Amino acid sequence: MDAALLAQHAVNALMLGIMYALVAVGFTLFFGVLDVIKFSHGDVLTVGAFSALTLWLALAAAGATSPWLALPLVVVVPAVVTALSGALIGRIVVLPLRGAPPLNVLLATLMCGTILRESIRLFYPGGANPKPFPALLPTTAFAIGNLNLRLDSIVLFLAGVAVVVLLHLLINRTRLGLAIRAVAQDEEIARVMGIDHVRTVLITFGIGLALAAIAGIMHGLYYNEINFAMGLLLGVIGFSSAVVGGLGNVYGAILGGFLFALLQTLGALAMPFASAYRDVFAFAAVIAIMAVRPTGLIAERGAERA
Amino acid sequence: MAHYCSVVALATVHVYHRFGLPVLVWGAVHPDITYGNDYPEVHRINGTMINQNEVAAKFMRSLGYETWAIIHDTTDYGKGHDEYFTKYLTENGGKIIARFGVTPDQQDFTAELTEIKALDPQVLYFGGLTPLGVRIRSQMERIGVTSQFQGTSGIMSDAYIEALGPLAEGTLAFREGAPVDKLPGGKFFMEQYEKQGYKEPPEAYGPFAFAAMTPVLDIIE
Repeated sequence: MDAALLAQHAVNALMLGIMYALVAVGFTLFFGVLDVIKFSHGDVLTVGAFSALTLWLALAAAGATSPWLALPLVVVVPAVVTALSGALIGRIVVLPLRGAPPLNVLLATLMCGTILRESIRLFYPGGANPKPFPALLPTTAFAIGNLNLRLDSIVLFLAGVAVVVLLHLLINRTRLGLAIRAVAQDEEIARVMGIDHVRTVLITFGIGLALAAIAGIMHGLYYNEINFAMGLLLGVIGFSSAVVGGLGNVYGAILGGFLFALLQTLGALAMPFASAYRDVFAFAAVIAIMAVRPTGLIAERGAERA
Repeated sequence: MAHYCSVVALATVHVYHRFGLPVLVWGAVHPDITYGNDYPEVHRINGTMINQNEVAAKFMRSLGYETWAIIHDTTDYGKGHDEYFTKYLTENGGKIIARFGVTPDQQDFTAELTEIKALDPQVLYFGGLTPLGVRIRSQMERIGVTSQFQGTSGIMSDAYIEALGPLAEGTLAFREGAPVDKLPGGKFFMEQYEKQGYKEPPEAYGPFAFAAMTPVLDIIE
């Protein structure tokens, strides 16, 4: 295989990896602060993508189609909307159940996800069909041999990396991040030290869901197509990535996301004419990693509290 | 009045037989729904993917295309299209240089399309339904696959065109039976359909569903 083709596969894997990583970080944040697994995450991603599309259609109807104006709006507004709706789900569904067995939270959020998914299918006009997502980024393509690199792919990847870096700064350099880390490490001590527990948890939910919305919009901009079921597999993959990386550890989730994309691409490469099995290959590899390192690649510090 | 979807029809046809329920297939193109059994209750109005792929293979060869890569979903529907298209294409001298079976909910096709790009077939044949067809066509653009895109009746829908916009231009897809305005009674159907003022378009198999209803109503009357 020539180098350009390998580079193309690498580019494909990196793009998948950054999207998986953003979803995985959400799972890991929720688990970190509240020890819950929030299975509506993938479907919130779909909501983010669909609200971006709706906003775009509204802007287009109003004649404001300039990408410089539309792009920031189409990214920021849905991210804020989903963050708020995520905090709402956290307040109404997750927090009241926090004394209950973790399985109840998992089930309740799984149901929330189904409600969101089916609502899009039933109530969004023509929601059962795939929807075109506008190409708001420049689609100029550079061809180097067999490597076809589009400018929008590069921009999306860099934007994803920037989001991850911002998250890193938020968690490590701000008071809010300090509060999140404190709650994650020891809830009771954090309360004693005067950290508003509910507020911290809800903000963390908001951050996680804003990341999901951004991942959904990236997904739309990358594939130029969204559909009501897109969050289903992305949710499962994001969760697996978070677990493989070490549930509760943000860097583990990022690592896990890229690892999963790499595994999928390797699967497709290793079995070129049986690519239907690449997810089987990737998930089997995840199981193998879990068997060797049950705590994930980067174990959460203070994991003994579980 | 059953079935647009071949996979569902294949799974349910035995149940209809057990209950002695008469069935008229009007959209599902898999041949085994009606040919794979000898149930007297099960009838077919539309053609099958055998006719569809025979014509598709001959037509594409007559345009001078030599080499194909195939992506099909791994349901009975996609596998059926793969089987019959391969059969008629090789009979007519076409060459298949790669074949990829994919799951019907797969989102990312960049790995498959990168392989296909390296092999550079003249035509990329897709055996499956609209959602996957849309994804493959739009991702072809991202990876830079320049092969002609050929689909089946499964992507022949307004949803395909709506989802792809200008990219849908130039896609080839085949359906058994003439276009609605050339069908006997096609004009009548379109008049009646418009009179009802439905929001949705009649799509590829609307006329067949309409035709299927007629004998049923005759018998009831």
